[in-house]
Order: sequence, then C-alpha cells, then structure tokens
Amino acid sequence: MTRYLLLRLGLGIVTVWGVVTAVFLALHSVPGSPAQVILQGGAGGGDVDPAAVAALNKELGLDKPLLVQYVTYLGHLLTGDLGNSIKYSAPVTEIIAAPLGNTVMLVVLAVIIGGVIGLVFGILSGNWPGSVLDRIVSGLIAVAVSTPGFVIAIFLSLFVGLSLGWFPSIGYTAPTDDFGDFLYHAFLPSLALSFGFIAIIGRVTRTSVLSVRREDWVRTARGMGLSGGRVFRRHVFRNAVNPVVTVAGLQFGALLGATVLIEQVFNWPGIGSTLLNAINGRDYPLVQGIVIVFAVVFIVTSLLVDLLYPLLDPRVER
Amino acid sequence: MTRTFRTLWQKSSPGLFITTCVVFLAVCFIFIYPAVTSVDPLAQDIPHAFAPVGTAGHLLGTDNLGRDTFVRLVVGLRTELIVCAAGTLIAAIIGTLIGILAAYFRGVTDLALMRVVDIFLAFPHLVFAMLIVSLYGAGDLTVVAVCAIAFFPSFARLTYGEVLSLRQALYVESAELFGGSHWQIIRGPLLRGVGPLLLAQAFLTLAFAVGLESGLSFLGLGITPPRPSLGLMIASGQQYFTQDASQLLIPSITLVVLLVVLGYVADWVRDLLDPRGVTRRRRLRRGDAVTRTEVISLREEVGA
Amino acid sequence: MNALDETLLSVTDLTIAVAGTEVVHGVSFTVRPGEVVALVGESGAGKSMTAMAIPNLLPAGSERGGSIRFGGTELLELSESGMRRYRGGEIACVYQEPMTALNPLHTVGDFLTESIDAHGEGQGRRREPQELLDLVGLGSFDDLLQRYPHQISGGQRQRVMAAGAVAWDPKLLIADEPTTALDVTTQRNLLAMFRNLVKREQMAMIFVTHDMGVVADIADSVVVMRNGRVVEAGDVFSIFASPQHEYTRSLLSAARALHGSEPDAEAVPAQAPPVVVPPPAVAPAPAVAPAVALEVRDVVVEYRSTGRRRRSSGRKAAVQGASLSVARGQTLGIVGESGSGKSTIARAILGLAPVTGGSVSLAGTEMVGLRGRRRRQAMARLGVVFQDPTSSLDPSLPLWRIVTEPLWRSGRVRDARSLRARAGELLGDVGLDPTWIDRRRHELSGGQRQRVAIARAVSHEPDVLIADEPTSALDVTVQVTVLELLSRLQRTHNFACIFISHDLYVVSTISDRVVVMKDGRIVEDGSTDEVIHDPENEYTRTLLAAIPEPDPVVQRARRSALDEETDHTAGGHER
Repeated sequence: MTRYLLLRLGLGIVTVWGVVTAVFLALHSVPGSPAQVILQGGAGGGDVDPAAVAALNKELGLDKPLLVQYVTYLGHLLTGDLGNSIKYSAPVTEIIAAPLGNTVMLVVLAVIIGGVIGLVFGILSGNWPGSVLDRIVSGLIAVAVSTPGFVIAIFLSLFVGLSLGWFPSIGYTAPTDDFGDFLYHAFLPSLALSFGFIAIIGRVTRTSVLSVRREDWVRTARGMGLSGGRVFRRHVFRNAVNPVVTVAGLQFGALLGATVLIEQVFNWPGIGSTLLNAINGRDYPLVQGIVIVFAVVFIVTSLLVDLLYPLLDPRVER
Repeated sequence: MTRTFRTLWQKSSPGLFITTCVVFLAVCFIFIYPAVTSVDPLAQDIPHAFAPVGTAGHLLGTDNLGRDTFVRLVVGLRTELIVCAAGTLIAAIIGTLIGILAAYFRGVTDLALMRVVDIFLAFPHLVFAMLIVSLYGAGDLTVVAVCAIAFFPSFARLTYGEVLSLRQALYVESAELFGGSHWQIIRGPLLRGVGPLLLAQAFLTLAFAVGLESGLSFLGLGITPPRPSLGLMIASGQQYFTQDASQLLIPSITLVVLLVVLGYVADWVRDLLDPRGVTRRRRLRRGDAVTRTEVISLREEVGA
Repeated sequence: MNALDETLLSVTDLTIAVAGTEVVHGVSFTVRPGEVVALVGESGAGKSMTAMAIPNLLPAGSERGGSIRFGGTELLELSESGMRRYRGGEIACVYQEPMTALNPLHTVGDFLTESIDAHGEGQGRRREPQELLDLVGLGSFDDLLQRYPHQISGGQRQRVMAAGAVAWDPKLLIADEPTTALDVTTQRNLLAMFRNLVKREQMAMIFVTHDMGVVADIADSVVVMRNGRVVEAGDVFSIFASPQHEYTRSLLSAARALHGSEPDAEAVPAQAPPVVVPPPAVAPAPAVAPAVALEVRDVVVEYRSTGRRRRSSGRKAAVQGASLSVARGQTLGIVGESGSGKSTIARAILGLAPVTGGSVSLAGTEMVGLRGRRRRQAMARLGVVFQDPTSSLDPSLPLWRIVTEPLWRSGRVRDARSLRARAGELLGDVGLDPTWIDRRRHELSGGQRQRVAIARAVSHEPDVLIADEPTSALDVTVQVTVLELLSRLQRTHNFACIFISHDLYVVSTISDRVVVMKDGRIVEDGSTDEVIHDPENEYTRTLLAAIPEPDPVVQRARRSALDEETDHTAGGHER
C-alpha cells in the first residue's frame, strides 16, 4: 500500500512541477520581456520608455539569465512565496487567501447539491431504463450538460433572483460574520455551478447502474432469495458507485474552472474574479500565483481520489 | 453516394436521421447566408436600437446599437464554428497521434507522452485559456491555439485506451503474424477500430470548444468585438436585459440548441458506427426499451 | 424411499419468450427427489434458459408460459415475493462463470453469511459459514472466509458458490454448466463433490451441460434439447445404449469420436461427414526421414512483471526448458491444463512471448532474436489458427481480404482480382461457398468463422501450421467436422501441424505424436498410441482418468475405482 501511495505522490509532484514550469515558460515566451508587456498593458500595446522597462526589469529580477530566474522561481515556490502582486503591492498569498476560501465553499456546496441530485437521477434512470422517468431525466441531463455554466447562471440570477426574488443574485456576507446569510447568498451561485456536475454524475451513474444490473452476481443475489431492495443496495449500488467516485474526483478541476464565469455573473468575491481582474490589469505575478494554486488544488484532489480507489475496490493492486 | 444514404437511413431511427439532415442544411445556410445577404452585421443604427422581433427588415430585432440581430447571429455562429472546428481538428490530429504512438509502442515513449498528456489534462480549460489570452492577446488565432492545446489530451487518452485494448484483439495480433509492418497495422485495423470513437469524440469536443469560446467571449477575452459572437451577444444581452429581454434570450437559446444538437450528433455517430465495428458493446440507447441488438445479446448471454 | 414415486418437479409445455420472440417451445420433463437430471444440448438449444426459468431468474423482458409444478405449487402463478421464498431455500442455483457470479467486492464470508441470512429459521436448522465450507470440501482452507473471489481459484469459487447454495438444504439444485469453464481435473473433483452432496442431502439436481461425458458421469436421466425443444428424454443408460432420435445419435457419435472411440457402426451421420481418420498405428516408413520443419530446443519463456527484476525469487518461468520437433506431414499434439504453458509455447514460436533461453528453429532458420524484415520473411512459413474465431477476424474487412491476409500483408500478391480469385478457391477448400467472398465476419456462425481462419492459415502454403485450441469454443458436432478438415488439408498441403488442446482425447484423434505439459515443463512425450494406452507419467494418467467417457456404464465403473483410491471430495487445492 505504501508503495502505491509513494508512487502516486511522486507522480503528483512531477505533475505540479510540470505545470509550474509550463507557466514559467508561457510567461517568458511572450515576445519582449515580461516587464515590457506589463508596462505596455498587454502584448502589442503602445511604446514604452526603455528606461522604465529597464528599471522594472531590475526590480523583478528579469535581467538575470533564464536559468537563474527559473531556479529562483522554483526556490520561492518551495518556500510558499508566490511573489508580490504589482497592483496591490502585497504578497500574492495574502491576496488570494480569502477569495480562495469563498470559491472553495461554492465548489463544496455544488458538489454536495450536485452529487446528491446526480446520484438520485442516475439511479432512477438506470434502474428503470426506457421508462418515462428515464426519458425525462435523460432529456434534462442532455440539456444541462450542453448549457454552458454562465448561461445557467445568468438565467438563475435573472429569473430566480431578480424576477422571483427567492434568493439574492448579488451580494455577499462573509461566512465568519453570519454563516446563515452567507449560505443564503451562496445558494444561487453554487446551484448554477452544480448543473454541469449533476449532468455528468447523473450520466455516469446511469451507465454504471445499467451495466452493473446485468452482471452475473446480481442474478446470484436474486437466486439466494434476497429482496429487491437488498439486492440493489448491496450488489448494484455498492458496485456501481466506484466509477462514479473516480469521475466525481476528476471533475473537481473542471468545477474550479467553471467558478470563474459563475462568479462574474453573481459578482461573487472568489478567486475567479480575482484572476480576471489580475489579467485585465496585467498583474502577472498574481496571475501566475493563482494559476499555480489551481493546479496544486487539482492535483491534490486527484491524488486523494487515487488513494480512495483501492479502498473501494479490493481488486486494485495496492 | 445513394448507397451511403440508404445505409444511413436503415441504421438509424427516423427522428435522428431527420435531425441530422436539418443540422446539415442549417450548417450550409450559416455559411452561405452571409455571402449572399446585403445586411451588414457591423452596421450601427442607434435610432432603431432594441427593435422588437419581427420588425420589417430585422427578423430578430436589433441590439443596443441598432445592429441586426439575425445577421449577427449567423455571422457569429459561422466564426465560432470555423474557429472551434479548426481548434478541434488540430487537437484531434495531435491527440490521436500521441495516443496511438504511446499505446502501440509502449515502453518509455508511453510513459513520457502520457505523463505530458496528464499534465495538460490536469488543468481547467478556462483558466488556462485566460492565461494564454492574457499573454498573447485575444483574437481568432489565440482561440484556435487554446482549443487545440486544451482538447488534445482527451483525444490522446481516448485513442490510448482504445488502441491498448485493440492491441489485445486477436486479429491485430494475427496481422502482425501475417507479415504486417508497424505502419500497416496502425493504418489498417487500429485506425479502423479507433475511427468511430474519434468521430464521436470530435463532435463532443466541438461542443466543448464552442462552450469554451463563448465563455471566453463572455468575459471579453475571445473573438474580438465589434465582430459578433454568441458570448458577446449574451453579455450585452444580460447588460440590457431590462430594456429588451429578447436580446438575451435569442443568443442564449441558440447556444443551448447548438450544443444539444452537437451532443446528439455525437451520440448518433457513435451508435451508428460502433455496433458494426470493433467491440460488441451492449447498446445502451437513451430511453429505448430492449432493442433488437439487446435481444440477440440477451439470448447469447443466457446461453440459450 | 416411497418418495421415489413422488415427483418433485414437473415441467409441462414450458414456453419462454424473450422480447416477444419465442426461444423455448413446449418443453416438458420431470424430476424426482434425489434424481440428477441432465439437460443436454449444444449452444442455442435453450437448456440454460429452461433451467433458469424454474426459479424465474430470466433476464428482464422474458415471459414464461405453460406449467412448472414444484412439490404441489404452481411456480408460474407465484408473485415475485412468493418466488423469493423458494430461491435459496428449496430451489438453489450454481452458475457457469464463477468469476463473475460472485460479487468481487464481497469476501467469501460475506457471501456465505448473506446466503444464510436470506432465509429465516423456519426453513430448517441454521448453519454456520464454516460448516458450509466443510460440506463442499473446503474445510481445511485457512482464512478462506476473509478472501475475495479474485484471490481464489476457479474450482474453489465454484465450491464456495455451491456452499452458499446448500445453506438451507435445497430440495432441488440447478447447476448451469458449472464445470464448463474449469480444467478437466478440477471438473472431476467438482463432479465428485456434487455427487456427494446429492447423496448426503438427498438433493435432486438439474445439471445443464453440453458434455456427454459429464452426463455419463453424473446423470440419472437425460433430457436432450435442440433449438428450444426436447428431442429425446429417458434414463441415462437407455439414452446412451439405444438413442432413438437422430440428433441424439449424432451428438453421441461426435462425443465418442472426440473421445477417440471407434465410430458407432449404427449411427447415421445426420449432417456430419465421416469421423476423423485415425492415424495409422505405425507410420509408413519413408525411404528418407521427413525433414524436420520446426525444432524447439530447451526454450525458456519468462514474463517480467513491471518494476521487478527478472528471475526474482518466487517468479516461475512460464515455460522451462521445453523441447519438441515436428516434421512435414506430421501432427504433434500439445496437451495441458490452464497454466501448463501449452499456449505460451505456441506464442513463443510465433514470437509473441518473451523467450529468454533456448532456440526455435523453423526450416533451419533460428527465430529467437530475429527482428524486422528478416523476421517477417521467416514468419511467412508459419500459419496460425487461434481459439476464438470471432476476435481473430477483422470485423470491418470482407472475407476475401481476411482469407488472403497473409498474401497481401506481406506484399506477395497485390492486385484485387487475383486475391479475390484465390479467396474463392480457399473458401471452397474449406467447405464454404466461394460466392461468400464479400461477406463479413458478423454474417457467419462460429464454425464457419473458424473455417475461414483455417483457410487463411493455409493460404500462403506454410511449412508449419500452429492450431491453438481451434475447436474448444465450438459445438461438439462442429468440432468433429473442423478436425476432419484439418486432417484433410494436411494430407493435401503436407504441412507440419502443431495442435494444442486441453483435451487429450481430442488431440489424439489427429496427432501422430503427443506431448503433455504441466507447470511449464514437458512431462510426457511419445507417439499417440503410447501416450494414450501406456503413459509413463503419473500426471498423464491423472489426465486420462479425469476425462469422463461418454458411456455411463464404463464411466461409473471407472469413477468408483478411482474414488476408492483417493477421496476427491475434499479439495480446495486444485485450480
């Protein structure tokens, strides 16, 4: 088991390193130095004063050879230093702490809502394929999976939020101030976020349930004289749930990415909006820091899923 | 030509066949219309802004700057489809190549290539796209590049898995034994086996690409204004929702319909080409009761 | 003992329809308490369906008609909950594929406990899991209860399934081909276990099988089915001694032919051509010894597990130091059970397995270590037929491409016209219609596909033909025709043939020499006559004894003699 763990951990570290390097290279592959890009306000901006460029170069350490920069970069990362934001003149880590928390809350809520609904949909569909219920559910899922998150967000915000007024579409209360109010404001955004997740979980669960139902051991269980409910719980559901867990884990990254758009629509102070502002403001250290955080979070979750899998399925080599 | 049509007709349900014909015609329309119409998608006409749907000369009304919505919709769709299709095509080619090479030759090539794939797979597409746009600026070419890089991993993973299992198939092994060279085998049974899945995946990816692009342009980071795109139209539609709801509804509904249809076509392609092909998978058709293929496999499975 | 006159189960005019299509048409038979009834037939006969209809374990969308009376109750009228009381209680089942019939996420203990908990005390005395294991001969196996299905062997899994089935002393045990997927020695032990259970628990059995030898071993009466109907039924001795229906006769004739017996003089071959020509007892001595076409010397095949070093302790080689040779016009049979290395050696010759020692020499050319174009040229002298006729044919190619594959792949013949002409000839040679050259794989039956595979294998006039269990996946009657085909082709083309199988008798029908393998080594090597009638090795004798003979009188005598030697009911250490 430890071998498996170490192997996965090693792979995870290599992947993080890969992403980090890719980000570094991306930043430094832009024509002209990064400092120039910053001052120009984006690639292909107007002319800039060479002296200002040189000064910024020196300040950001960009005049040193590439390899040195790379090593310093890596060194900083290992100590948890993501650099300083240009616009806010503060360490990146400080700036992203609170928004990251807000975003994670949204994702967690979306996973809970989406997971439960998706599982239920998938089970209902998978157990009674071809029924009216199945057709309805599958149709809903088809639409939900095709509709981009931001469209759903817009509609929820405008119709449920503004027109119906059941839940607020804008506004935010910090969880530490009033958790109930925080949830009240978080509901619509996380609901919007969960739609895609529901669709995918629903689909995978349906397929999984459908295929497990036909397995020989289900017939053996029926042959023992077990009740339908018991057969389902112990022999269909339990076996069908494994691939769903894997898929759910892998979806975490996608959910994280989807928050960017949702936060735009609902004006939610999460890391997505921070990223957008950073991009528009050419605040590269901040952009870089956020991108790396995204990558690490994602890799950590897939590591956890990898670790979970042998526990769920004894056939997997430990 | 007629023979392919007839086989297509035989193999699918009437509903799907008609839907696909309609889709095909719609695509033709989207490409032909802008060339033959005299309406300019960029022409502003502020006095006539927010004209309601059905106004003479403006089938779907006008937006906040008096530009004709219908033309903008069609042109926007066209641009998006071209850009996303290009990105998907490049992603498919790169991804398939990587997947086949890694799965066929195994060993070090396998580890190296698939590790790279995993690194790219690790990333949320939108965030990655935003990073690239921030560095290189928004525009068509950037979007194509973003799509290509974002989606090649899924093609690679798909081909990798499929080729890996195909390699075990006896007829592929025999091909080796009967004197086939590596290239012959890759070109022949492997590509034939992987083909249907690839095609289905291509349509799915096109849907994802359109979704990605519309998200980007919604944030103002995709196809550059004043050229129209669905994302941009939705963004402005949201902004002026209180004045004219149709300007939000029209592009939104178009986008959703487009994506649903693409998903449907992907399913249809896979269902159509697969049962005749490599593995005898059980057809889990959406919503159908027991189909004929299932009856045959049912009988076989109980050993009757 | 007056229960002998009572009928336990009475099936009358049973019909089964799957999704609207009727697959079983008016089947009737009875089962008495303690009686073992064999449901026999080839694939598509409807025997499994009939058996599974009794406890109503048919797939969704199936409809039953007619009558099934069990101890006075009409089963067809029962609701699902009513039927549940019988399942696992008075009527229990054992299935064909032990790997998939047990939930992979549940331990053996979980499975047994669940079988026990499925019914209440009212049905009898409640047993403990360990007791059940004792009943099936797994009592001495330590910590079996904590094991998962993938951690135990196929034979053990079947015993576990049987243990669960007998938890509540069923009056009727339905066994759906329980030994088909297992080695013959394992099958032998399992049959003994079943017989033991029948005797001890006074249990009746319905035993579904396609193997007439198994029927001769275990059945009291026989029901022969074909295409969803019963063609003949009766007690086992009468059926074997004087079969009335011509299908029964052809089944028996094929079974005996495959067992190496003399063809039944009375049997009218229904559609099967005459039985395989047995090899002459003494090969006609040629003036010059026929050239050795293939020579394998001291070959070692070892598989490397990823990440571990080769030859680490405990890692057994798949094949260790095997040597054999075949000459043109000769057939060498390789026999072994699963894991014996018989298929591995074939793969080694073909270059599909990692050969770490020894030599494989084809018409004088050393094959080990040969790569690239030279290898492909050398391989052109080989032809191969695999076990699975379906997956060895490319589903998207028309027959004429498939059957001439060795010709166009190697580039020897390129133009479509000559390929198509040749394809027509080849199809004709194997007894198929030459106009079928444009058909595809899915339009052919299993037997026909195998013929195509054989045609392909000889299309380029190879020196050596390797047939890896070419008939194992086919029906008995079809097997005979395929073997006959191989024989005939060999006489025409004069290639050397290596015939691999798990069945010693089948191999003996067309081989001149036979080699027996166990655990990667060759343990017996001699002419067919020597090996069958006077084997030197203990293992060969065990194999010969384990294969059931399709003659109830002989088989029962054999098995009581052997049962006295060793108690085969206690198992758990076989495969």
